[in-house]
Amino acid sequence: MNQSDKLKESVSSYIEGELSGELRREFEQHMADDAEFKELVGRTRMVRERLQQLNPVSTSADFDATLRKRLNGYGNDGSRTFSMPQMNWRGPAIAVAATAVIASTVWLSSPTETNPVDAPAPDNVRSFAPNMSSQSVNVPDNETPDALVNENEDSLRVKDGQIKDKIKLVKDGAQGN
Amino acid sequence: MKKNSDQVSDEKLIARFQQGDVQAFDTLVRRYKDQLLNYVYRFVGNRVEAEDVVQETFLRVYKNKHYYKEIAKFSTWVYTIAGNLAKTELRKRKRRKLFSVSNFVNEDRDYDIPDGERSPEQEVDGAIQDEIIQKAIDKLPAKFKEVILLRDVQGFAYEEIGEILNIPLGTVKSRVNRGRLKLQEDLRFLVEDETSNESS
Repeated sequence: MNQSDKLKESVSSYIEGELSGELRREFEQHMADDAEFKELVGRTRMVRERLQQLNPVSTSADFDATLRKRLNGYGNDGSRTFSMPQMNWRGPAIAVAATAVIASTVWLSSPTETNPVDAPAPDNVRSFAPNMSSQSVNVPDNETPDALVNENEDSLRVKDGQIKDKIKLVKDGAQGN
Repeated sequence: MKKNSDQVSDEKLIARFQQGDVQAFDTLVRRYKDQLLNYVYRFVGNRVEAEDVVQETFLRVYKNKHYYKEIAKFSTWVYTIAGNLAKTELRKRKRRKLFSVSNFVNEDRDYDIPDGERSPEQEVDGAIQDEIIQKAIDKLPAKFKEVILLRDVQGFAYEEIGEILNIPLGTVKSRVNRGRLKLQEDLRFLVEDETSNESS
């Protein structure tokens, strides 16, 4: 570390008048010997003065009213009702909403295999939801559709014969009376 | 009435507020709102965000009044709160910058009405120079920025800066010096003419 680097650590102390004794003499001697160092000290002093002279800002006219409103927003539970931070959410919110609308429109208008309305229920679901149509076509392995038709025709023939017998009985009874 | 309450020390006002005197809180707000705004505004570089942070600071004071103990000055306590909130705001902004390219251009900056001693041209020059200085401040790392603002803009003693930031006195002095050296590099073009005039 050369002397300039070492004395740079004391620049603020020097410009604030806090250097004294031997160190101050050493500092001033180095400024006299090194023009660049002297300029650096001058600029640092100037920067400090500029910072001290910065235009002050004042709170806006509605500061007190806004603060009052916020204080009133404090609930007994300490919950806060502050304004949102200065971030523009409108753009992203609109984009998300638009995407959701488009996606749902496309999804509803185009039936696909993934559409849960049309998709077959999984086996485990089906087992807990009896299906009436599956019961009606629940055919024993040894019976064929033709056998079923024949059975139905036979039963109709039997029923037809029973009706004819009943009509004959009624007619006979009437003649007997 | 107002004059009397203004003469009371900050510590007595907060003690009154702790006992339920809301007028004392109002007086503290009047005393500190502008100086806190200057500190926070220079820290975050955005007027609207700064005002929000200052409001939040007073809300914290209001809500946590019983946490204040008179072992420290009220100014130390309130600046600690404001500084922490300002740092949080900067961190939030860094995260927001990831999502937005239209970040914090300081279009909302405004300045006090000229006091009549400076011409309009000088006012414009002053405003431009303020903006240049503010940009240099914005570029400083937070740990240098906070000490520079507390020392050179707010005029705090080194000891109180150490208490506000909870860092040793030597660290405060070292950071102030390094912050100033960094600023003189960045603002070289602005102050060079004046220093050459001064030395000649």
